[in-house]
Amino acid sequence: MSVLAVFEPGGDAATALYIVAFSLFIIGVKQGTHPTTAKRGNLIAAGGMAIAVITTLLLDGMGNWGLIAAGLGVGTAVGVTASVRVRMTEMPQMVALYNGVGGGAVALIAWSEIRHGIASGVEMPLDELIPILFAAVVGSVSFWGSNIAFAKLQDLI
Amino acid sequence: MPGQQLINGVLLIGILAACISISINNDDPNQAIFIGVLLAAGLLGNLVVLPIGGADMPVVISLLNAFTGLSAAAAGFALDNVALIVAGTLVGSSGTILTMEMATAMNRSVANVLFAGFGGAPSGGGATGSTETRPHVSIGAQDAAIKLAYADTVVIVPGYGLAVAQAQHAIKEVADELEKRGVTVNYAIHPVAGRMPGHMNVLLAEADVPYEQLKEMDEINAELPRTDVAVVIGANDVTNPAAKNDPDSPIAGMPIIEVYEAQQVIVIKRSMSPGFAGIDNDLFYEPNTSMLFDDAKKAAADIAAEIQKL
Repeated sequence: MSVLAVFEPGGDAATALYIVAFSLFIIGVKQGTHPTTAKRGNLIAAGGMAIAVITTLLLDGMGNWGLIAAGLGVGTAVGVTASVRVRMTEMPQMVALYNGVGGGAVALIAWSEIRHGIASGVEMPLDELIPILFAAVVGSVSFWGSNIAFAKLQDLI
Repeated sequence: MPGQQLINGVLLIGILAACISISINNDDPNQAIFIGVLLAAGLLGNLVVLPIGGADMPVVISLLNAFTGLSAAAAGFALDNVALIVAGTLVGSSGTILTMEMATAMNRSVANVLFAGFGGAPSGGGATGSTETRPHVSIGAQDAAIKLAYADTVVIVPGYGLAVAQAQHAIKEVADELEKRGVTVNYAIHPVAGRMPGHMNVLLAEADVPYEQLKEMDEINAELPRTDVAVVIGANDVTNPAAKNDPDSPIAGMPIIEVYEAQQVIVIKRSMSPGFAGIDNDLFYEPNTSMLFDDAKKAAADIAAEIQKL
């Protein structure tokens, strides 16, 4: 058993931190509704997301630290560089692209879950399988649709 | 493309059938079928967004954003992770609300935005026969500067053209010059002006336009009858009175910025060409409208220089 047993999914510490993160999301979205507070709202929501990511990483059963670090590193480098360099007028394209990446990530998660299910050899419960299929379809539509939107806004097509 | 709805429909039915087949054989899900589902869904995403015109992009991006949120929430259920469910639902619901609000602002349903292929090609009728020869008044930067400098209240109506020409700093300069002379300047923001939700706000914020000067459509429409000069820069359809007056117009019923209510209107535009909706704008032929034909950025810079000289 890990020393971080309180970080088991549903454990006390993890639940408490998630609740803090969700509160920050909601405050962030609320502040995003007005231009004067939108910047602060964005930072607050980002803070919430940082807490959620760290909490998830501390959950029992996490592994493959090298891959996780590499993913976080590459993602952060690309994200920060792009958002610093992007011109204000190119913002719509950037929003479209980032949104697409989110959808694509979800579709890939769904794929890896299916592979997991197949490899385990046991029957996949429908309450797991149906959300996976939904995530795969909608995530994939969102990824490709957003890429087309990006290409159109960037005048590539 | 006429057969497109059919192809999309067949794809969707195929995807659903494949998903059902995977669910029935849940003791040993077939990975090949699953990859087929991923690819078919990708193709569907391509086909749905491809025919949609540029001006509908804000609605599409907002809708896709809601999709991403919903799929993340679904992944949260699969992974048994509460954080993903909550974050995904927040994105999904706020994206959905935004999509509906923008569709309402254009007086169209979301389905109409997605499937009508609106503005992709002129749909017969009026657009083809629009070799419009009604008289309009054309002025230069100097005349525009005089009209503006001696006004008490000016409302600037920005549109996508402002973004294309990167004219946000130049128009801010005009506003600064006017304010030095004691003119009250406000900006009228149509909910669907530009190419993404809040596009005009972001653009003008970059030029340090104070937020208090950005007025939403309902608020500014009440002010326009008391406004001396309205400057339309890079906007077209969102000011077209046909939306109110002509029930047969493709944009009929769309709420507009009622610039024609202002004492005088200056429209800065490169030519008389129609906007995204492909229809003529009656505003250009109103007796109190003057057209200034130029690139938005150059026109704004010229006007600012002329005001300085006055």
